[in-house]
Amino acid sequence: MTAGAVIAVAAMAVAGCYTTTNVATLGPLHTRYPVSASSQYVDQSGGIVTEKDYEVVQSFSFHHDVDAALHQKTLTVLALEPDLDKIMGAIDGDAITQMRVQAIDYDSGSSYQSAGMKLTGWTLGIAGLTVVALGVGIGSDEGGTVTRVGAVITGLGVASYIIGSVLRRPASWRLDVSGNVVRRNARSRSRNAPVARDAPTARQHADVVVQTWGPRSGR
Amino acid sequence: MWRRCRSRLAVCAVIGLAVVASCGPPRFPRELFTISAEGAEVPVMLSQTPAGRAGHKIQSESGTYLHQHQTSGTVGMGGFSYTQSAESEMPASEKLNAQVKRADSWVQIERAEYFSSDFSTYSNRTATRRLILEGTAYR
Repeated sequence: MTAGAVIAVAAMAVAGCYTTTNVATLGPLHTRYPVSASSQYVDQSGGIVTEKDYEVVQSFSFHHDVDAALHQKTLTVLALEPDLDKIMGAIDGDAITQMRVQAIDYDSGSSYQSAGMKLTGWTLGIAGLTVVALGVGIGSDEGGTVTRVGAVITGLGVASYIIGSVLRRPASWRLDVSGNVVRRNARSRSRNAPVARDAPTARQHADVVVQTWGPRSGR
Repeated sequence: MWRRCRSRLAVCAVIGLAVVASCGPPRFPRELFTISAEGAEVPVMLSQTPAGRAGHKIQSESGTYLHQHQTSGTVGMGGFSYTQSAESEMPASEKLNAQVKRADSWVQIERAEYFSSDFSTYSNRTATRRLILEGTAYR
């Protein structure tokens, strides 16, 4: 009986840990235009462009959720490039400045409720089975009653575990992304223009810049 | 008499509502989970930028931690529970910005990680939320 109790406690301990891990990573963005978190940025030639060298064309913001399945480890690589490309494709800008990624909330989903129900399921299930075993051991009519009580307790445990498994609202990071699309002003463009004999005009230079970063969609 | 009772009831209702409202879920500290370089004196690049000359690694993190523990009572005594919570004083973005030296020209953010973990067992539950920032400051 003592060995049975030890096994029961060990089984509960092993089965009774539930962890939901939600990891979202953001590496350097692979875009054809500079994206900066500050008001200054580094252009393709390695020069630093300050607020005086550009004008803000438009501000933007969008929402991004990163979901994770319950009681599992989920690793997500944040891909913000498609959304940023769409924005830059619609606006004739040179760079993005003052970009900000903010987690406005974290929703743990049904993580704790589901774990609670499953833990209750394990507790009642194992306790019920123990009572059933007791009933079988006692035998005769009295034993039959104990066995039935054990079966009911086990049934409640199974039901509780099933309810816990049905609760599946995912855990989620809720992110807001915002920033400014900027365009270099004429003064800045002409200052950075090459000194060669056939140096392009300011506008042409901008086109050279675009080509250096690669073709931009929607232009 | 009824008027006096009614006004007292109204006062009680207002106080009750205020108490209930104050028991809501704790505010999510957004500033601890923000990637931002507001006020930075150098460019802080999120896009891949050709590496500069000498650079030094910088790293910071901020977040929250909550631990709830319950113990079951013995005969004649109720159980008790305790809650331990911790929260960073400064946001990771500010800490990262503070590591940029005067000689540095710009910063590349190499990696940002939003980490969360919710752990449950029979008498314990913990909730961890973290923002980790890693970057290189170039001269």
